[in-house]
Amino acid sequence: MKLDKELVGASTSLLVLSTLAREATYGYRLIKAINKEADGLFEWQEGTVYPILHKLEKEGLVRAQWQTADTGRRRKYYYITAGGREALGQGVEQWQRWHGMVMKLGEARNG
Amino acid sequence: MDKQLSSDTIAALRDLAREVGDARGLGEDAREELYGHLEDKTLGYLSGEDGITEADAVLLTREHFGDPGAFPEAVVQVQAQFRSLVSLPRRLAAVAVLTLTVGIAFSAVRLLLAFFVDTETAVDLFAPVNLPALWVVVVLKMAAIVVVLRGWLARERRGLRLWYQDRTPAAIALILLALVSLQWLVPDVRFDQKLLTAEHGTLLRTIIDMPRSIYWSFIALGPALAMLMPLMWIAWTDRRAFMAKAVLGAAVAWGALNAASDFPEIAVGAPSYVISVDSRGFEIQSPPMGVSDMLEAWGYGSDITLQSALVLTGYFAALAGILPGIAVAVYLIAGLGGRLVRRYGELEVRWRPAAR
Repeated sequence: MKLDKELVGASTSLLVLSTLAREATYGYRLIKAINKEADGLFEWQEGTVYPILHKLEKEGLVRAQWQTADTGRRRKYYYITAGGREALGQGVEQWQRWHGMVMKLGEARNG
Repeated sequence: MDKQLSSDTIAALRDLAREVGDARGLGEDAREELYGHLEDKTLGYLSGEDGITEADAVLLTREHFGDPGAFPEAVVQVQAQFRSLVSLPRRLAAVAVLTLTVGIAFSAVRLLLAFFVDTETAVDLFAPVNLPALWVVVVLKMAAIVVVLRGWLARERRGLRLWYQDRTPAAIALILLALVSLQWLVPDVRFDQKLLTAEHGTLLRTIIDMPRSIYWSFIALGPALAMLMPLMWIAWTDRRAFMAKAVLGAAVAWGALNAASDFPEIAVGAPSYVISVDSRGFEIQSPPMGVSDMLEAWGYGSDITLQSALVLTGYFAALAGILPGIAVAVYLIAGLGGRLVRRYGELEVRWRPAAR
């Protein structure tokens, strides 16, 4: 089952931040990691992640740094900042509450 | 992803990153990041880390097939190149027929002008001392030949058949023979020697009175212009790729045609109309000089002996060989520095990217 695009779209920043919270990485690897985690629920197009990364960088939630990847090539690595971790925490909490409400309403409908 | 990309691939990815960057107004930093992504993606495909989806497969298939719009045009171009592989003898015959036809046309015009327009104008324009006029005629002749040759080549490239591709060798030989004969039969406009000292038109006087340096520069221009004709022949025959036999064939054929054209005139004399300034009219003069007259003038007597035959042979061989010889040298020297030296048989077809 594929998830609704709007649903995924609303959570893009959280998905990026949560992935970066595990490990700093660069765009290509980040997309592969997220698509792998999605396991077919959705698949991000490669071009979509960079505008999100740049927006997060502008907001100070991530910071970027050029460094040499394990392939020996120069890549722009993204690190989550303290502000980013805080935003991630808030975002996850909002999602949990949202999720809880949706589940409760769903159960009420089924009951 | 340890695999190294080729310099061509890196350049292609750089171009793509630049294209996208320009289209979206990206800064240098973003472009570099984009390039890194494209590089990773390419390496991912090559290593198998990135699988190919159905959509990817369609893209690849389309890319390998080439532009469907360009495909029919490319096929026509390729076929036309093969169709245009006219044999060397046919190419030589074509340019020989053209050269003779243009020569006859110019002679006819000159004759008609002398007859029907104005004797004095004809004297002014065609007197042997009027070198600028003579060279202009040479240039006009060559220009006419170049225009026709370019037209033929354009038709060849479009895959159209031309007369020299379809006629039988016998028919082409007959055409050539007829033209050589016709060239000999069209009377040449000649001038009474008194012309050079007599009172004549303003233009001619002006040229004769020119400073020596200017006058001799016109004289020197003659061989240079004359050499362009065999060069043109060589360029016409050396079509597909550099071929020694085409270059030498053109030079030899050009010399042979000139020898064949001049031989009847020298051996039996040519019909000539001589313009006399004094009489302001025309008279048919007997053949001006045959072989026997020439030998006598050189001190070999009027009879042809082995010695005089050898001298004559050497004379005509030198006449026929000097200009094409220089032309071949110029062509080869130019070719060494330019694009004319190419590998034989190389045929470039650039209608789609090379298959990976």
